[in-house]
Amino acid sequence: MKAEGQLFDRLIAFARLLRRAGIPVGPGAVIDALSAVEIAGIGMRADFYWTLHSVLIKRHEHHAVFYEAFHRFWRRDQVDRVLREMLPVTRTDGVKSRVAQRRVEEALGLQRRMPKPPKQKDTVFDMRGTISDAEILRRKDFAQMSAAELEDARRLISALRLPDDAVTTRRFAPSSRGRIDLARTLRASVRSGGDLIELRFKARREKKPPIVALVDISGSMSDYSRPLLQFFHMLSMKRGNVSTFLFGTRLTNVTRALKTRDPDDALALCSQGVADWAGGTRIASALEEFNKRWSRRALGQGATVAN
Amino acid sequence: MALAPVEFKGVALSALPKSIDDTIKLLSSGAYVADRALSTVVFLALKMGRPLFLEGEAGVGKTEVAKVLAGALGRRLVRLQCYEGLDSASALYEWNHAAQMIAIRVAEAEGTANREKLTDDVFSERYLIRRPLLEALSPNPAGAPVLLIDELDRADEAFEAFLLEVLADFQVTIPEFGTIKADTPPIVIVTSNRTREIHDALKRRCLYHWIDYPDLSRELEIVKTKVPGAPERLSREVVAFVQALRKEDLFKSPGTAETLDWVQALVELDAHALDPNLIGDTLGVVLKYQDDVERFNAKKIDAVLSASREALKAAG
Repeated sequence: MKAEGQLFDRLIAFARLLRRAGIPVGPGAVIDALSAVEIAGIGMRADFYWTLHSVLIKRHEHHAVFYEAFHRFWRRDQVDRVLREMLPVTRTDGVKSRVAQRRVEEALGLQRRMPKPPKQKDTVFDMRGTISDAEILRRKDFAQMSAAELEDARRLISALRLPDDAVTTRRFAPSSRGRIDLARTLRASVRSGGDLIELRFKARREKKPPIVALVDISGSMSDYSRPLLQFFHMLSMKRGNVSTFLFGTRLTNVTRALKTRDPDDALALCSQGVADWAGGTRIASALEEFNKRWSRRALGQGATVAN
Repeated sequence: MALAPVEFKGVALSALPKSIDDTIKLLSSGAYVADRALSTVVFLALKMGRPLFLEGEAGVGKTEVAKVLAGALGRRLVRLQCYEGLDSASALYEWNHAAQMIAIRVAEAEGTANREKLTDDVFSERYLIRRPLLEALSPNPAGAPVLLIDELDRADEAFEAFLLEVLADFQVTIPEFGTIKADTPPIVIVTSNRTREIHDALKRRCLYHWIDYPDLSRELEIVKTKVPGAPERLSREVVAFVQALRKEDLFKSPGTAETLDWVQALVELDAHALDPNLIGDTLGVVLKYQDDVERFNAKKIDAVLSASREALKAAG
């Protein structure tokens, strides 16, 4: 029993580590993990790995983080931080795993501090109208928006009424007209003893199709990108199902950032995630990346594309 | 309320595997070459009685897992193919309204219409049409079936919420009939091609696994198992070529299913080895998008072919 209790404690600690690294692991999953480990047994390290993986991980993109976390946490003998830092880390190459490694290190508290954000330069080069190969990676601070300006924009945007673009789906819903709904008709008529058959109807349900927004945030459009983003934030708040991508010299998916309820927070998250604010434009390569990586996931179900 | 058992004459029921190694053997008895990771998840899903959620690119063998499990365990396979607009009437159950209407009219004509009795009669099992989910929950003397919910990402999000209830308790409530609960929960396998994200609430109830493309040696083994008549050299070259192809910048990388199709096609053509002309003529079996096919001109084919040969040499 004692060994079991120890394992449980370790699992809780491991779950906490994963959570700090940004993987949602609920308490239920930890209990599941314990019973899964009991069933599978701790024979081979690989089995143990996949056992925990199957219970704790629910998304493919979390795999890299899990990999790093597992190999750092489940060392044969637990070592102190200093040693951990010195040990070489096995990893596969690629940007993804480097990001994962950083996330795990942060979660373990190994990195003393997050890398400092680059200092903002005082002079701002107006790159509009000039073409340069060098990427200008700049971060735009949304906080500079004045409060009055913000309020105005928000009021105007929330007052906007969208054109009715609902499409009919193949599902039915009760309606006052349309096709005869046999199921409901029958239920109603049985209720009245079968003397009176009162017809009930159903009609095709309507749904607003998903919206995919591709927003150009390059220098030449910088005056527009801010209100546009606000607009899409409002849109995703109001009807959901909006995927937003920003592109300048590279493509960034900010759908999740825009789901934050508070518009200020949402826009702040966006500007954090974007490295190429108000730089140049590489429309072709950004669109190519969108087509390759996202189109099949984002463009299902009759999506509308806005850019 | 209890439903009448489903008639099913299957092969002898096999016991569930006892260990991960057993699971590998079980899957390979159904001609499925599984890596240890997948076997671990399958084993846990069977043991813990939890649904198994499989994600991965098209053609990596997600659906096949369910089929092989059903075959190897001697269970019935109940398949629910998802599509846009799938609703509970076609997934769970439906009343046979036409027959019900007739029954009511007959009762009226006979003058025996007693409201209570009529309700009982009309909403009885006789007028119930079972759809896959109810079928899977019905008692089955041949053991709980394997329930395959295929391509869940195609169904609307509203359907997921409905599925939550079924997968959590393995029971459904039919208002006029009562609650039906499975004696032994079915073995549930959910697959998704990831054309959209499935909601976390559903995934939380499942064990999750991402099936990746197999590596060279495993894919070769799969080809040997599935196309036993293929010449050794041909299989090796095709597998290496497809592996090299997956490293290319393609809109849709070929899956294992495409590899098998290709080997089969080449066997039909009496080919014994790959050459650039043959590849050019049959590339349509592997690449399914016109953009991808167009990009593969003779030069490109040569490049990939030589890359694949080198990989083969390195693998020995």
